Amino acid sequence: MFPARIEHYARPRTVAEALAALSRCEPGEAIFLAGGQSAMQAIKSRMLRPQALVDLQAVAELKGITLTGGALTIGAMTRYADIARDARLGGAFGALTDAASHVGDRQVRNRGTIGGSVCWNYVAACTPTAVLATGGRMNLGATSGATRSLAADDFLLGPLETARQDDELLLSVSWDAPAARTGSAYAKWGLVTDALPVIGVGVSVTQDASGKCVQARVALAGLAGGAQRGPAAEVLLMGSAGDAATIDAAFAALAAEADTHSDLSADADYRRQLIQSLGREVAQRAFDRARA
Amino acid sequence: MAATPQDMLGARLPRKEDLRLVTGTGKYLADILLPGMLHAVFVRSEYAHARIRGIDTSEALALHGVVAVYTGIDFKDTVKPMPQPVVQPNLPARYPTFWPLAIDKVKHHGEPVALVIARDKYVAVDAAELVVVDYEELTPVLDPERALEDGSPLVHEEDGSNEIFAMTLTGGLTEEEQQRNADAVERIFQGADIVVKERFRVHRTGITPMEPRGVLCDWNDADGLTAWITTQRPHIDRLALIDLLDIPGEQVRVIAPRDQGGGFGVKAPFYRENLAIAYAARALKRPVRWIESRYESLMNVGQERDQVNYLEVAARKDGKLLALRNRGVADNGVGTTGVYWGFVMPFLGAVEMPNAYTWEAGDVRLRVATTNKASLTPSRAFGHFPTRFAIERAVDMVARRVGMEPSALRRMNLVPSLPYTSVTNEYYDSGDFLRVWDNLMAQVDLPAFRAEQAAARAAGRYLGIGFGCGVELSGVASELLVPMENQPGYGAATVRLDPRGKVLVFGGDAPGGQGHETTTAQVVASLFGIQASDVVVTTGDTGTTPFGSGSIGARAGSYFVSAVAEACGELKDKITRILAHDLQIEASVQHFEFKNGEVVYLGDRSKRKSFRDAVERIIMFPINMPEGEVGGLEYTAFFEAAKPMICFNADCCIVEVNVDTGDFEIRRWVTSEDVGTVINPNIVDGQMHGAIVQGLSNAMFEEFVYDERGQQMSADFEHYKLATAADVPDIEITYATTPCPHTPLGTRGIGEGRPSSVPGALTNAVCDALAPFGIEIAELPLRPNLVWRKLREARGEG
Repeated sequence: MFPARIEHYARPRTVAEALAALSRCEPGEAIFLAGGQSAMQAIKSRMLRPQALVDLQAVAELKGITLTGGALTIGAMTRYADIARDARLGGAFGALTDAASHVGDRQVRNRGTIGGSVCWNYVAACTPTAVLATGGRMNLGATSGATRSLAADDFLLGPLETARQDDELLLSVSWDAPAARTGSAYAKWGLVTDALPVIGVGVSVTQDASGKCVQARVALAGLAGGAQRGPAAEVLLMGSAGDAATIDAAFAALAAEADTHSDLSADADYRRQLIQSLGREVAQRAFDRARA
Repeated sequence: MAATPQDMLGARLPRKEDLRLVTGTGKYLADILLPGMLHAVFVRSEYAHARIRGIDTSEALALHGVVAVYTGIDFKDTVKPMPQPVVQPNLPARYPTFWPLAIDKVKHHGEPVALVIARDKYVAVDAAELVVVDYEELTPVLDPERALEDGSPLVHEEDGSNEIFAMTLTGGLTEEEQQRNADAVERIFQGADIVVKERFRVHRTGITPMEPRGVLCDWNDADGLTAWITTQRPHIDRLALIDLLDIPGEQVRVIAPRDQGGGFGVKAPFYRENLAIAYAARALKRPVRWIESRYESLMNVGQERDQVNYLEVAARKDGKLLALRNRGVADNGVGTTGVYWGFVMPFLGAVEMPNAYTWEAGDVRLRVATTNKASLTPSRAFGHFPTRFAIERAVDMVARRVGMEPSALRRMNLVPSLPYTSVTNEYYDSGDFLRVWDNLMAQVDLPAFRAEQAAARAAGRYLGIGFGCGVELSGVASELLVPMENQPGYGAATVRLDPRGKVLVFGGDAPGGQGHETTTAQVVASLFGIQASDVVVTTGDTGTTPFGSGSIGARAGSYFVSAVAEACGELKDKITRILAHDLQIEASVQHFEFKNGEVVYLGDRSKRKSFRDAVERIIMFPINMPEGEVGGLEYTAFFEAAKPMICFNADCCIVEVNVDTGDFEIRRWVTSEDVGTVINPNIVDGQMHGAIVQGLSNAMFEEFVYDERGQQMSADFEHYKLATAADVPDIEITYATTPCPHTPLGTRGIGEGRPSSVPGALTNAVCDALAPFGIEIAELPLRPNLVWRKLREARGEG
């Protein structure tokens, strides 16, 4: 585990400095280093051979959790541990704390970041799935000074692939103020405690005053295609009362149509079982939080 | 709470090693730096089985900072090939011939093909990428049963067969005698009320020490070779280097660093990498170091188990076990590992198959096949993890068939008194299996559990209880170790007294974190009546320690401390002889007490001398000595018990299974142990915790996986899953000890075989929970996915 030669290393203190450092590199030859929990392994094993590293750890403006009138912004360099222990993030944002609480181990949670995780977009990862389930938006800044905002659905393209361009830096992930009676949850199953998800399920629901489900987002982790929405479950949850029978039917439908695969951790049929059993538990928790 | 010296045996002393280990001041192999040291990287095969058409090292050699690049052919006429007697068991087998690097053909994914030596590790890795190997891929041999069929591709073509080893433990020396015994077994099966017959499969799993392998070799023409190796057996490694490199014995010194991050068997073989590095250091006359990466480690070592056992058990309907018949097929992997070659582990596993039960007869046979996988390497519970799983599961199946509690059936069939010789001719020296068992059952209220289980089932919840037990080696006697590994079993220790009253102990074994410094110090302190802090233990340096076969097979608590005790006894004799002379009394050692730093004459307690003064007088002032005595206080003792020795343990596990998902939770794990006299309960508890966690992790999580081309898919910890603390239950360790009558202190060696009874107990508990579904599981790993599939099949959904 000895990296190939890295020609340049920059440790900017501001976003402007970070983008300037990036602009000095050939496109695609620099790698932003966030928490380093995935990228450093890839670099040390020479799967990645960057010419330059732009280390974002000293960029204070990329860190922090802001709640303004219910709208949430999480800086890209905010650590899992900070998200996990933020007592304000229940209810509509419960999926985010659920996911952040069980990424890796303590060491990983104290180094790894939300931005690093969504930009890496590993094939089986909790954070992209939780962000997708809750409908987060990715706010990007480019070396040209331009900024843009992308929905998670448009940002997460597939395993290790995102819509971020080589000249862009993820600044933050943000959420509009959630509607009243919104709840979300996330859970995963792995062979050992806090392992990467064999299957992970994130659910966000909104109920109207009568208890009818008027918004439902379901996302899955652990499929070969990476984090993805589960529309088969969403359509059944929509308009329902969030009752157990509907939830069962929704995740049975999702499990039936999910493109599961067999690997060292579980076979394709068992992944379907996990989608059902985890989905049931997670959706129930999301509705409970919506009602709370 | 300061223990007095006399309480030292059995005191819960904190480990002497721990302060440096937990404060980051331990000194491991990678902490040893020599001036001018070069760094080595191996280029490893990308294929499981391929012919090497050519290797181009020119670009690698041209890279600035590269000192040398070796390929297999460089070794062919310069080092002796393995096998050589020192690294070859005394068992008849088809030993493949091999050199440090592959020549002509690669035989497993990860096999070393070239060796790059450079000024630093970065350059070495860069250069390794520039070595171009031209391969012609061949069909890999991956299934051991198919490997034994006619027409299978061959791993080692010159052998003409993939069967590296086969044996029968049916009894008898000739085929006729063996057939007679097999016929007798068959007659028992014919007349038996119950026959259980099952194919038991245990996957490839083993052990992953925290510190991987490594070696640092230094050569100079005056002194020869000094090799620092992460090893459990420095004296064996030294002999191997002498013989294979053809260096005179006085010119080779091997040092196992004092701190090693675990061995568990992985650091017991003699590895081809070590030979290559020693060769390079001699050729270059520069220190050369190789530190294994985790990726290399997971691809090359720690892989064990991997066996199919076709087991039949004959029993009476009252639960009495009558006979066992087993046909084992083990996957040896490539077999290019010195000392063990792979098959030595399944060999011992077959020997240990009868476990603690009485059988009238047994017909146990084993075939071992070479495949294009990494060689089996020893991994704690040496060899018998698969056979123990099979027998413990089969015993439960018999109990279910005859309608008995598995625990009652076990007790009924336990060997009632010792010594005893098993049907595979394994000698069990001492202990009290029934007392250990009864102690276990006293921890578990079985009727209450059955009532709770019934109530839970009525509510749709599935609880289960499982049992298992294990006879384990306590050290390895010469009687077993000479035929098995061509090495002696005795323990050796030098005890040197210091004129200032301190004690230095030297042992030739090389521990990897077991706490030998502490346990040895406690033994010495208790015998001399001094404090454990007055004792310093040095291990692992062939330049300063007496010959030892290594830290293997639970030798410390059995053989090594016994040698220490005997050496202390000799020195106490001498001290008291001279003290009696000085005091002008007629007395010998039994008339004196060594206590609280003093040597006291029991006939008149005013006649006493401080330990320090008594020692200093003999070492520094050897005048006015008794007739025939000379000065000095140092003694080397060799301890060998007349017969092999054992320890014994029993496990009980309670689980709850979720019958929708197949998930199961271990709610309780309780044990009963006969470890003989306990030197330090903290250390014994720790050994048991570690071994049981390993057994659970092996049974549920860990698995080395090869794809259909023989590519290793589990070479990182994302895929080779280890249990974490959160994945294992609290473990309740209880003791029912019988002091071993064959060791001076009554101690037994522990820890080596301990993981092996775990998978049976766990799986028995899961199957007990699922008894309403009639589910019997005969394969590992035991994972929710498997349990779920069995449930679906049982419900007719599969």
